[in-house]
Amino acid sequence: MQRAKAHIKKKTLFQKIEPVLYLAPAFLLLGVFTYYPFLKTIVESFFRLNSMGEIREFVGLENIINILHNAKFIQSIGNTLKFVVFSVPFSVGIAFILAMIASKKRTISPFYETFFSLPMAMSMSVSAMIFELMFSPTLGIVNAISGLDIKWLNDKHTALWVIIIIQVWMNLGYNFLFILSAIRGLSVDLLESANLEGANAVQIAVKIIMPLVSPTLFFLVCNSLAKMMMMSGLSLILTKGGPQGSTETMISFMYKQATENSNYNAAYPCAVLAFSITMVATLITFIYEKKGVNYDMQ
Amino acid sequence: MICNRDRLKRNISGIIIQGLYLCVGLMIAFPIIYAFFISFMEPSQVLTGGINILPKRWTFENYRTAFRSAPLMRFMWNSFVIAFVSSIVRIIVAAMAAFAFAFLDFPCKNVIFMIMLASMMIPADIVLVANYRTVSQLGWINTYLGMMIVFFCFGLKHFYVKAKLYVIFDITKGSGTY
Repeated sequence: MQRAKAHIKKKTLFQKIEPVLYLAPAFLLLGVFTYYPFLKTIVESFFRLNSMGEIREFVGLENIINILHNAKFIQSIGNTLKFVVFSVPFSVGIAFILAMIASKKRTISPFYETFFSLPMAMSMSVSAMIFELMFSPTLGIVNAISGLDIKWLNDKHTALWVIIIIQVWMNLGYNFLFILSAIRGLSVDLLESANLEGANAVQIAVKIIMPLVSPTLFFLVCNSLAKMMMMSGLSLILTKGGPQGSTETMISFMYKQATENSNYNAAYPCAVLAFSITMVATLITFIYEKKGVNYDMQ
Repeated sequence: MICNRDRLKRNISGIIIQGLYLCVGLMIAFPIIYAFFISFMEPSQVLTGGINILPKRWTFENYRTAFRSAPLMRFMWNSFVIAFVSSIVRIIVAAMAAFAFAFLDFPCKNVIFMIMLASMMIPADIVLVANYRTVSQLGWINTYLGMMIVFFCFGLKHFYVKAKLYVIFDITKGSGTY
C-alpha cells in the first residue's frame, strides 16, 4: 500500500495527463451525442420552442400536460404497450421452444439450427419489405394460403398484429442462439437423472431447464423490452403510423412531430415520457427478477 | 435380435424427428427463401397472386432492372463506408478508453467508469431529435461525417466492460504486472 502511494507521488506530468488523453475522445463523443442531447431533451421539454427549435419562454409542465391531452399520443402509448406485451413473451417463448427442440445434437442439427437463427441476419427494412409482400391483400401468399380476405396492413384491427408478427420473427434468431447456448451449457447428468425419474419432456422443460436458464431468459426479456418500447422503424416503413393511428408508437409519434411538423414542443415531452415509461417497465422486470430468477445452480 | 430391432426403431424415429425439425426450420426461414425465389420470378408471375413460391421461369431480369433504375453500387458503397469507418473509429476510441480504465490509475476512476456505463441506459431513439439538430447545426446533414458521427459513440460500453473483466481476470491469475 505504501509503496503504491509512493509510486503515485512520483508521477511525471505525462503520466498525469495520459489517462485524460485516452479518455478524451470517448468522453467527447458520449458527451456531445448522448449526454448533451439527453439533458437538452429533458430541459427543453419545460420550455416553449419555436419551429427552429429556439427557446422562447419557460412554461413548466405545460408541454407535458398538452401532450397528455393529445388523443393520438395516448393511443400511441396504448399501441406501444400492446406491442410490447405481445411481442416480448412470444419472441422469448417461441425461441425457448426452438432451443429445446434443437438442444440435442443430431446428424442434421446444424441445418435446422441455421434455419432457426437465420432471421437474425435480416435487417429491419428488408424483413419489412418481405412481409409487406407476404401480407399484401391481393398478391400476398398469406391470404392465398389461408383463403382469407383480410387487408392486413390496411385494416386498423390487424395492422398492429402484423407488425407484432414481424418483430417476433426478427427477434427469434437472436433469442434462439442465446437460449440454445444456455441449455447446451447445462450439466448432462441433471437432465439424465430427470429422465430416469420418469419426467416427461414438458416437465423437464418447465420444471428443470427453465429455472436453470432463467438468467438468460431474464436478460433477453430486459433487452427486448427496452428495444421494443423504442420501436418505431417498422411502423414508419410499413404503415406510417397508419390506419387511423393504430400502429403509431411513442417514438414514431415523436419522430413525426419533430421531422414533419417541426413541433419540438410535442417531440421533447414525448421523448421524456417514452423514456420514463421504459424505465418503469424495466424497473418492474427487475423487481420480478428477485423472485423469479435463479442464479444458484448455474 | 431385440437389441437390433430396438436400434432400428430408434433410428427411424430419429430420422422422422429430424425431418420434422427441418420442416419447422424451413417454416421459420420461409420468408427469406420466399424472397429469394421471388427475386428470380418474372413480374407477371408475381402480379398474378395466388400461391406461387417457385418461379415458373428463372430470370435475372429483376436484378438487371434494379441495377439500371438505381445506382445500387453507389448505395452499397455508401453503406460500406459508413459501417466500416464508424466501426474502426469506434474500436479505436473504445480501446483507448478501455486501456485507461484497465491499466492506468487516476482520481475518480470508478465514478468516471460509472458515468460512461450509464450511457447504456439512454436509448438512441430518445436522443434522435436532439442529435439531428446538433448535426444540422454543424452543417453536416447529407454528409458521410454527419451520418457516421452519431454511431461513433454507441457500443463503446462493451469495451469498457471487457477491459474491467480483463483486469479482474489478470488479478485472479496472479500475474499482477499492473
